[in-house]
Parts: sequence; structure tokens; C-alpha cells
Amino acid sequence: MTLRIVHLFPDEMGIFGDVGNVTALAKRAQWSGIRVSVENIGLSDAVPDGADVYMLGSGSTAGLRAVLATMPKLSRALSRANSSGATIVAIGAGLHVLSARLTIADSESFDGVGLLDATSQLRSQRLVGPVAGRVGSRDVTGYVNSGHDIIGTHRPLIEHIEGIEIVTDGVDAPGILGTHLHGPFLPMNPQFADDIIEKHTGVSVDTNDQRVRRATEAASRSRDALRRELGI
Amino acid sequence: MLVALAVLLGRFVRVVTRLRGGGSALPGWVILKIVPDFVATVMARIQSENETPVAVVTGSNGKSTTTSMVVAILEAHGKHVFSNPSGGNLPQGIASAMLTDVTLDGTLSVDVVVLELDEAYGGKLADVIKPSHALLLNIQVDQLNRFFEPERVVEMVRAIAQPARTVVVNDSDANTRALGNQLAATHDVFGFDVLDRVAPGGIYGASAGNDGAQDPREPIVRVESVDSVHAMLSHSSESVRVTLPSPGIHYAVDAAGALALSSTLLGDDFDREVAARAISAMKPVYGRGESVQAFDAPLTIVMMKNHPSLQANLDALSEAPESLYLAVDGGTPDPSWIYDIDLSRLDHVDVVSGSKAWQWETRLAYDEIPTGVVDEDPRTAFESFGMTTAPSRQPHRTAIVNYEQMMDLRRELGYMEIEGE
Repeated sequence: MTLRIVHLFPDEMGIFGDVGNVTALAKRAQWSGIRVSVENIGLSDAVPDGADVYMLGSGSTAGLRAVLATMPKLSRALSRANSSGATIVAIGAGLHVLSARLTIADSESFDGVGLLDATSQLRSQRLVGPVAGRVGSRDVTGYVNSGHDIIGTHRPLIEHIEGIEIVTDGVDAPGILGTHLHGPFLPMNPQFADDIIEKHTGVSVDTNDQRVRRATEAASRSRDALRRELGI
Repeated sequence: MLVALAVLLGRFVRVVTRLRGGGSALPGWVILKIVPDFVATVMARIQSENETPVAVVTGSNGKSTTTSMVVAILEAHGKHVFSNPSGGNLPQGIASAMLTDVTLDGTLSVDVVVLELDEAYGGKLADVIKPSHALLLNIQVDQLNRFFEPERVVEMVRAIAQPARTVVVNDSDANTRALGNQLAATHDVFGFDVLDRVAPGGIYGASAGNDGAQDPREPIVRVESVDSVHAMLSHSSESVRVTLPSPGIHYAVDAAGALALSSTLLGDDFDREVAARAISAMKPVYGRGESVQAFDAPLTIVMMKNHPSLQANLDALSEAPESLYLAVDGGTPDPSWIYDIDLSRLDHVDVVSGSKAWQWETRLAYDEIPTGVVDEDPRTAFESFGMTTAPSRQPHRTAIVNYEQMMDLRRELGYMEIEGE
């Protein structure tokens, strides 16, 4: 059993330690006896088909522009990935890339991947700061640093957000885990990593493994610390 | 009259804050409350009266070290220099620094002014200071909670360089190289560079859309080799050896920038041997690789400011620290970038502390780097660091700390002088 992870554009879309999401998936799978392959894909590379997880992280405006210039190639590749049951982990600007249309600066707009019935729009005020929220019964925490909103019909991933002036965040759509939270998101909220691993390999992450336990416990204490910082 | 009052009151506040061990910027803050254009008044006077060169140093990393190097070089050439000591790179810091030398009518009698400028405030300050020379060190990923993205920092740095006539840029950094190329049409632009083989992994510049910037200049200073604290730099096709204040390629790049700026300021008077000796005699700048005493042994402080600076400091380690304390607090609001750091130089951490301790512990867990104690309270954590470690292989302990923890640690250890004094 192999978990195959494709990390898209780590140089352009990885400004908030987004590689940590790949690290969490890969390590937790390996510690559970699952083989893992990670392919880093650059702007000029073909996006491979058939992977289990496609990771698209957060980027600055220049990085985002460079990635959007790869349309419609990227759009076709991620649409195929989505219809073949892969999970796309989309963080920050990576989430916006999945929308139908993005406005990234005044009167500068681009086509997105179009997997989401949504548009990406400039915020009048940038959102910056630590946040805590809930996904069902799970507590999640992280940091937001975003100048764009995603406006559409999708269901949000995270609700009951405290810390900044939004109450929901992200996208919960078939095969898409999308959020503005970094920290990075999966190391800080490892249950989501474990869900992805189990979904694609049928193997549960080994919660008795000392290494898994250490990372899980440390993440739990990190979330506690962030909630304390927020006065929750 | 108002200026005289501001200077006197500022000096009084400085005496009081020194007694209480407080911050160095407060006297400047008081002056600016009374005379908001104090800095502009003083600067305008020295520039109009004797055309004193005014150099500014900016960039993401290395400002304090490079500014100190430039000052040391100029003083070694017999110049009387006014500068803002490390860290005092905001308006109140500069006003504070002026207190020592300024007369009651607002006159500074100096040969050269060298100021470290914060990127964000720099544009506004550059209009006030009207620099003749600007040194652009680098644009790296830094404080995104404050700057949002490196593209904005590129524009801030451009605004600092704009009023100058002479601009010195780091040609090994794609963003400052691109700025140099763009400014070359209207400014005298000089470059300093690093031989590719010296930094095969690059110098950790931020990706801000300038990676393809051409390199049209022959650099006036080049880093040719770096071995721990020893660097060979070339200037006008002659090599010169310098001892760096702390080990690392980044300090050699700072030295190259300092040499390049000093040579443009001094012209024919510039003597590279004098410059090299001045740099070699420098101590580490406050908290940046400096050694303090703790638990009857030296403690080397490595500052964890941002991804590129921490990575450069880790790259410079010749071996894994034997006794290592790691503390980060809310002064680093979002430490997500620690996942970008290559931690292969570390084989364990004895004590992890600060309010972000568990985030570091999560990161270390994923690299399977053992940790001894995780304790969010730095007081008890540092105490247990002293009790549980006894370095024998290395002559010193090591602390990797963010700026705020560095300040707290120095104070705890009885190093009462504050940055900027």
C-alpha cells in the first residue's frame, strides 16, 4: 500500500510553511507502516494523474500569478484528479486557485481551476491573526493571513471561528479540504491528516506508535496554547 | 527653543529609563511628541551646511550587523560617524540616538551619517532623511503578519532607495538585483555579489517575481570563500581576508555590503586593508551570535528571527549543539515557517520553551529529533536547562531564541544594557 502525494508548486505556493502539510501526511503514514511517495511539481512540469493527495499551498501575489498562468493545464489535471477520487488539500491562495475566477489585484482577474462554484475577491481589509474554530465536534486552530475572500455556494469547513472577524472559513466539498488556516493546518490538526490517510489507504494511523503519539500530543498542546492566547 | 527643550527632556528621560532598565526608544518618543519633525530638522541642517553624506542600510536581514560594520570601517578611516545603534531603526530610535551628539540648537557635527532603516518605516523616513546613499541588503520572507508578502517589501525598499543618488545592491539576491537594474536608469548603482560555489544552496531570497532578473553589473565587492568566521572578499580584483563577528555566509554577505557601501562613501580614501581590520575587530552585534555567561559557562545566542536568518545560522553550525535551549514566544506570532527549516544540523534539543514551545515540539516530533523538556514558562525552563546540561564536548551551551526571548534571557542573566545603548 502506497500513499502517493503530489505537492504542487512548492516554490511558488508555500510561503507559510505549507510543506508541513505534506510532512504530516507522509510521516504519519510512514509511522503506520504505509509506503509514501512525494512528488514535487514545478511550474513547467506535467501534473501527474493517479495520485491520492494533491497539495496546493499558500502563495504571494507573484507566486499566484505564475500558477494561474499554467491554466488551463492545471485546471484539466485537477479536474481529473477530483473525478478520480483524489483529495485536494488547498491552503490559503491554493484554495482560491480552485475557484472559477480570481481577482488578485485591482482590475486584474484570471480564470481558476473551476472546481468550486465560487469566485475569489479582494478584501477591503486583510485578515491576519490566530484563530480557533470547530469542524463538527473537532476543535481546530491555526493562523490566517489573507487579503482575499472566497465567495460561493460551497459549505464552509470551519465554523464558530473566534479570533478574527469571520465566523466560518474554508471549503468542505467532495474531495477538497480547503482552508485559510496555516500553522500549518495538518500538523496542528492531525486528525484531518489521519482521515485522508485512512480514506486512501484503508489503513488507520497507528495511534499506539510513539512517534504518532508525540506529534499528536504536541499538536493538541499547540492548539491549547493558541486558544489560551485568544483568551478562550 | 522647542528643540532645546526636547533635547533636554529627552536626555532626562534617557537617564530615568536607563536606571529602570527600560527601552531605548522612549527618549526619542518623548522628543517626537514635542518636536514631531525633530529628525528632519537635524538632518536638513547637517546636509545643507556641509553636504554630509547620509547613507541608509535596509533589507530583511543583516541591517544591524552591516550598519555596525560600515560604522567601524568609517571610524577606522578617521571619520566621525553618526549612526543609530542596532535595532533603533524606527523614527523614535533615530531620535533617541541623536540625543548623545546633538547640540541644543539641533546641530550634529559629523562627517558621515549611517542609518539602519526598518523596511516599513523606511519610505516615510527616507523622505525626511534624504539619503545620498542607500545599501539594499536583501528581501527575504520575514514577518508576514506585518508585511503580508515579499512583493510589498520590494516596494518599501524601492521607496527607501528612491531619494538617494548612489545605490548599492546585493546582486546575489534576485529582488535587490532587480531593484538595482530598475534604478540604474536614474541612479548610480553598484553591486556586491557572492560566488555561486560559496553558497550552492542560494541565499534564501524571497520569491517575489524577480527570479529571472539579469545581472548586468560587475560587482565592486565579491565574497570568494567562507570558512566559519573566515571570509575572503575581493575588491578591485584584490583579495582581502576578514574575520566575521559570527560564523556564516550571511555575515560574509553583510561584510561585502559594508565594504561596498564604505568604498562608495570614501572614494579614493577607501583602504580595503583598513576596512578588513575594522570588521575583523568587531564583536557580534547585540544578541546575534554573541556569547554571554550562564551557569558558569559561555552561552551562544542564535537568533531565530525568520526562516532565512535561522536557516543561515543553522547552516553555519559546524556540529550539532551539545546543549541546546530553544525558546520562542508570541513575538513570533505565526511560526508556521519552521516547517521550511532544514533541521538536519540538530540531533536533539534539551529544553523547548516559550508560548510557542508546543508548536516547535510538533515540528521536532515530525523530524524525530528528541527533546528533553517542553516547558512553556521560560524561567523554569531555562533553570532546568542549566541543571540538566553539562557540556563537555563543546565549550559552550547554545540558545536558539526569538528576539523577545533573547532580550528576556539577557536581562535574566544580568546583561542589563538594552539594545540601542
